Amino acid sequence: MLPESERALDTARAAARCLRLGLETRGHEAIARLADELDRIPCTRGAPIDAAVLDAILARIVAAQERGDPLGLADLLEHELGPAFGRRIPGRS
Amino acid sequence: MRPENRKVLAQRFPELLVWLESAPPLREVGFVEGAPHRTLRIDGVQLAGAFDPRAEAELQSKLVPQGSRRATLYGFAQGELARLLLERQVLQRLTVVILDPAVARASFEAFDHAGWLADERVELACARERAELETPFAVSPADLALAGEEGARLRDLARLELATPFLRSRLEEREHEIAERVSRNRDLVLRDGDVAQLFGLRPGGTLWIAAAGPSLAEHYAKLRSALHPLVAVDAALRPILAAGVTPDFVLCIDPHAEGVRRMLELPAERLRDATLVYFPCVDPAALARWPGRRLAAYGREALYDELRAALPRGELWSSGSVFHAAVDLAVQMGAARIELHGADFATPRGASHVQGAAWETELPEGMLTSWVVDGYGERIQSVANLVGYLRDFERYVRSHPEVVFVNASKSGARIGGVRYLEEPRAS
Repeated sequence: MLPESERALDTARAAARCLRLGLETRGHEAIARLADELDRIPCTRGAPIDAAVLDAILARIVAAQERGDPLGLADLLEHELGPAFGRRIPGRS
Repeated sequence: MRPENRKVLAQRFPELLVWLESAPPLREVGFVEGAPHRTLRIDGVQLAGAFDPRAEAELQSKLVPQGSRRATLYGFAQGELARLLLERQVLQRLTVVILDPAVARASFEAFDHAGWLADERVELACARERAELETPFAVSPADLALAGEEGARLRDLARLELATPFLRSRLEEREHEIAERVSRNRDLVLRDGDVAQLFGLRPGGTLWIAAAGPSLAEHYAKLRSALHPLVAVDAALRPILAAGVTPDFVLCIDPHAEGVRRMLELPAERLRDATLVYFPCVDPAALARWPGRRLAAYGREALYDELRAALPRGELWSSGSVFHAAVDLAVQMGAARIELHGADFATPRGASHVQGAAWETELPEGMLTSWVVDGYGERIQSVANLVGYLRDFERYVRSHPEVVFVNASKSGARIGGVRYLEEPRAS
């Protein structure tokens, strides 16, 4: 996995952790950082990203933010964004 | 409600059972489709993580130190966190505060909570019985998100408390720069007067405060009458001057140099008779340009300790908002009645500040993550820091029963302990 992708996933996990703890402001700031990091991922270098899948997840992330659903948002960041980068979810076959 | 839950509630918390059953229905309740774990979603908000709720509860439980004998839980979601905390032998008391009765009832209808409810160490409480946060505590983030009016204050206090270490670390990042500015202002503090010379000057009087919320514009005609001394916050200065209102006192405690420049760079002739009360963290160049009298004051932060010891000056309370310092000045001047204008703590009509203020902006939807109830009983959007300032101010109001605080507008947040102009005083 590209270092840019690793960094983005680390940020996504950090955001999810904040949201699960009720640290809403920190969580949303991390998501803003994540958006910047995702922008910087060079898709042309053969990163295993399915752009359509990623777009769909990002749309759900935005929707969860808009409806103020911290744990739905945390689940998307932690358990659904990873697979879009070709990473399996721990504990799932 | 599931019978096993009802049975324990009826035995242990009969009054709460009545309260829960009389709660209004929720708009939308259902289970998250395809979720690995059974997860309730209420009005678009998941009560718990759908993938690994146990790990989530373990993370949340870390907010309560391992050796704690008592703990408070704000919201119980689907019960996982309460069960986990009760596994601790050392825990003697777990207070579970319900932030919204309809949300709690939905969870009692969907999940078996009888085990933890029956534990004798558990005390179930409703939010309206609790004015203040009890520590140590953990939260269910979904319950915070779904909290109704009764739970809004505790929700805000919990969010504020959780955010405090983060906000403090942010301040610490700028501490060196601000400390240097305080040091550079030493000569100015030495030459300028002391805010304490104003203390006690208006015993039993009425003072007006001009804050910079959007509703300030509703009061320009009244403020022009100059019936009472006016204390204005820096951000309100530009719009009130434009409206023909001249303040008697202006408060500035902002360490942001560019912001202060935007707020205070105004025609000198209108300000010669106004007194600027400032904290020494303010940019020296902006202070030097003030055409009228300047009085120095300190906040209670350690940042001022060295200067405070060398050059003692009066102190003003603020938890971060200049509005706090403005009100505290009025209180320390001896006011018996303080009328608030533009003290909105929210974004009525989507605006952050009164029109013409240096910071006036339409806040993006993503920033409006909080809500408060306005004077008409309607929910209006706000931002986390404003809600934090509101709750701190409510504590301040409670600590000053000798002063009557009056809000001139119902457009902004309802402030606990503050009445509206037309309301008769409670006997």
